[in-house]
Amino acid sequence: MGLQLRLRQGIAVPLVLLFCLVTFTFLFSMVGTRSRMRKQTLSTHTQKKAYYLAQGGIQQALLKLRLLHRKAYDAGAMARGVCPFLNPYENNVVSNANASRVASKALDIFISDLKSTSISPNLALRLTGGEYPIPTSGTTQWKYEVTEFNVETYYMQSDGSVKEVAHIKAMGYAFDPRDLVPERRELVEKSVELTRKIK
Amino acid sequence: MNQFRVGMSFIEVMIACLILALAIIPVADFLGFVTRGTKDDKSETEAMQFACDLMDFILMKMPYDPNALNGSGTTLIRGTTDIRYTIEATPIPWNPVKSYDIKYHDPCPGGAEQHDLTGDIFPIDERLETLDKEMVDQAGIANASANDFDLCDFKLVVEWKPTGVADEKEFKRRPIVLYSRKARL
Repeated sequence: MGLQLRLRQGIAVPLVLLFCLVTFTFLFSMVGTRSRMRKQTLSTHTQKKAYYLAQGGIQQALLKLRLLHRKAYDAGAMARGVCPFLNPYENNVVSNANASRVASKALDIFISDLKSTSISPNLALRLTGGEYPIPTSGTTQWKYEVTEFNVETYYMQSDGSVKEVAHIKAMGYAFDPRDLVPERRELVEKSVELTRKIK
Repeated sequence: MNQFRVGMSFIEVMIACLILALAIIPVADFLGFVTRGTKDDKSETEAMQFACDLMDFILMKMPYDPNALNGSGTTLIRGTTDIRYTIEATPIPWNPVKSYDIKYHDPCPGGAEQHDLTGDIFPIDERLETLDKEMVDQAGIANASANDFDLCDFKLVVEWKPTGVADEKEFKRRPIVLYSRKARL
């Protein structure tokens, strides 16, 4: 009995201290989890911002396709090594593109101003003022650019029209000063069909 | 001596209770903070979802009209979140667009596919007005104007606060701001 009593003496304070230690460890782990969750939420938001900027790039590319559809078609044909002046009614073999004659120069020129940081001041993303201006840093700004415009298939249909299936890739970049990563990127892809038909 | 030691346990329990009480205060405070944070995160996610839905609607479904885009909505409730939003649209005047031309030359032996076109392609600037007229003529649109084909920047600001929080300043604490560009297609 005497020994049991002695063992139980002084147990309450250590027990409470142990409880506090366990509780605080738990709380610190919760702080860590919460801070990680905040960062994750922030990066998701920044990623979304990059996504919508990339969508802006796709919109600009589609508008340019609408304005210069013939130029887009020709550039696509040359990028496949096919003569853009090919008359589909007289030459049924359009798939024998000459790989050594692939000329991507026209496509490169075509997409050269499809970006928000264009040399043209009117095409730079302009919403820089207002209550919530676009945040900038020394190295990164919010921007987008069309990085690729590839013609993936090129074929003739039974009605004599020639079709190109072009693949547009736009990259959006977003930066948030609170984010640890210098920039977040999001790639948006869209396929469009370009048809040439001689009436 | 033994009796004195047994008597100490009461003081010990009192000290333990005091330590526990002192420890419980920040714990309870912190648990409250975590709960508020979780509630905030949920509201922020709902606000973000709302912002994304609105952006998708503007980009994919809404007809092009910067004047219709500009404006703000009344406070609405989505799930457990009070949301209010503003949209700012700015039309972009276009400069000449980058294009190319192919230099004409006499037919070469073996046809165009045997000829390297790279040297025959050179960059040009095409003016929107000309393109615009050409396109408008093709589409048969009456009263062609320079605004038939255009682009605008737009900014969506979604301010939010968890439903039930009375302080209006909460709306301004962590707004969601998204930018994009819309074309008349």
